Amino acid sequence: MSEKLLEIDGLCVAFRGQQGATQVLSQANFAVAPGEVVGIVGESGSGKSVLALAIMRLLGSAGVITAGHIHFEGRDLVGLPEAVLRAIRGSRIGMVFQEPMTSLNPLFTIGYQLGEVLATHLGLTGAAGRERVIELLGEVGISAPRERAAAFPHQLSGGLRQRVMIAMATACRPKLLIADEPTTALDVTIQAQILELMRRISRDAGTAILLITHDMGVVARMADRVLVVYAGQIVEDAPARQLFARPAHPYTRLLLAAMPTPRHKSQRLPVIPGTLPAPSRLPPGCRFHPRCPMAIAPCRVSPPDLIELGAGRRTRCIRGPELLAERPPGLESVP
Amino acid sequence: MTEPLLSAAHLSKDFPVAGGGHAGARRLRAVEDVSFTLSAGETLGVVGESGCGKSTVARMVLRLTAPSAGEIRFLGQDITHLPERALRPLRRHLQAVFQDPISSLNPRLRVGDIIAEPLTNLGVPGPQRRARLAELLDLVGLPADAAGRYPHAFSGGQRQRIAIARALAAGPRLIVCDEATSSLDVSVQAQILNLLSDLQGRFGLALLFISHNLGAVRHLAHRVAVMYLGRLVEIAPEAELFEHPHHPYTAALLAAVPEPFPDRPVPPPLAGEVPSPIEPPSGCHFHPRCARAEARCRAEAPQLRPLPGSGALVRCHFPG
Repeated sequence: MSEKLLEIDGLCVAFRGQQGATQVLSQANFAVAPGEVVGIVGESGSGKSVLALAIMRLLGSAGVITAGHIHFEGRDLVGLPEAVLRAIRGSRIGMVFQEPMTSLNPLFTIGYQLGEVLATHLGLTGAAGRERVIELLGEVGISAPRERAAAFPHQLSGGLRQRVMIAMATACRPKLLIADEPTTALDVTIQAQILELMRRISRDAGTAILLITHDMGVVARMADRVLVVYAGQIVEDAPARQLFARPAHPYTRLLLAAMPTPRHKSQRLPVIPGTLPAPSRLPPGCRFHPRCPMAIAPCRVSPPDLIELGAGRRTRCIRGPELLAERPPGLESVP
Repeated sequence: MTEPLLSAAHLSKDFPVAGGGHAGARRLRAVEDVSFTLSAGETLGVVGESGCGKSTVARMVLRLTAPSAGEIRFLGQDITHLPERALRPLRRHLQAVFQDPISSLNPRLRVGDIIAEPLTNLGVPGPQRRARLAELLDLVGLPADAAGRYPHAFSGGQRQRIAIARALAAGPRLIVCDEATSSLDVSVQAQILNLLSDLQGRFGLALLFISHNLGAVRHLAHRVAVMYLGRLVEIAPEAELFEHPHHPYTAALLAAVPEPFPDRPVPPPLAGEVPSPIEPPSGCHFHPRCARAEARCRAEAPQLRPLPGSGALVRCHFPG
């Protein structure tokens, strides 16, 4: 087995509320190899962003890691003091969020903010720092970087702001970039540019990317491997090509089929009945069973494990192996 | 020939821009010379990126924003400058569903009162109103007991069903859907898209479906209009537009949509960003980003013209 950059082991996260703690992420297990692009997909409320925040230890006051380990470059991030974490964030782990406007300080120029990252983590100040800022802005495809460095965040478009965020996140050549819905707020032609930029950075600098998104199309364009999250659990894990060719979990399969595509006219979209259950009101047995057209008696009582299917694939479905067959029973009509 | 249900002719909308130096000198042309028609039972999709003017078109059709120029005809009447009193009888036929159902539903009213509000306004008596409410809840797939609850008790998809039920209440002819499925998750979006197409089939509704989601537009629309920086650049039947886009912007937009097929080669992204509508490029607005652009495109704005041998209208000197 090759060296892993990041290894998540039995990670559980709970949120404290008025009615006590509610578990929002259960027993997440997965690893990311150096340079690997791993996509984490799920619908809103699935727990995918909680997973990203937990890895960065940025859950805030209400969220707590109740169990598990986050091994990153040989250290367990769970239990590390905030001062050490702060040094890791920004230098070893870069972060990009959905809305760059809220991550950038509106009172300072983007050149100043990027310079601050270089000064804090690399001790690069003065003229050398200023030159590096301009170089970095150029690297992320910002034209006239010398002039743009003097701009305030509100003077830039959403696409340019996201380029600035990526420049800041990758300034210290981190080994891991965690990107949480980095293109969700952008128009589709700008999204294509930002995805291309992230792909290039990953390829050129060997940066691993953990890409969190609700968009199966974005994942397909970017990821080597995909984790599908549902109701706080990883329900499927597979190399991207295999996952899209033949999903091994009914939820993945339905999610793909429910997505209308501009490639062809679909007469009727297959729907997943009902909605995602709230973390405080999870059904017994398999968490997807009330919405699953393939559910059978055992699904209603015993929670399934994430079972190995071979070839780097895992599914949390006792009927997963059947799904790899030609016409899975109960899903005959789903393309 | 019978008149279409809705027709928009040469619609334009200017907004004054603050800080222009000379007072009122600077204007933002949000929509420029947009024309289209929509018939009963038909869905016209309107696509484009942020700032292209698609929502301003929706607001003008709904008479929420007054056009700076042009004419809107609905049900055989010119409604462009019709006073609100005279417009009122037509309102029941002209309804809307917006992106964010929570901000368009009054949080202090029960769902039943929200849905029945258009009926109350029309003076429909109580017993008939209650019967219609039960029918509407059933039509949009909400439980009967939903009527007594408040909007916050519902999920995003259910709230959009509430908004659709309200839009349907008075028996409209046209529903304007402005990003109506954009804040929904994929599985819920599919439910709402299916619901809209069922309702259209049942009642012969016309839909003006405005969205940045090209997949959703293809699913619902019979014809599709593409907008760029305030101008309509292409309008064509759905199959033609998606299979054989003629305008280079339409082609670039389609190529940019990421799709769940990892093996498909990724086309190089369109360079640059949408320019500012305050100072739009000369000639064809798209020329700075267009691979096909020549000197003529910089100098002369192309007109929206029928492309011979096709069902499309295209605003391009060199249509593909």
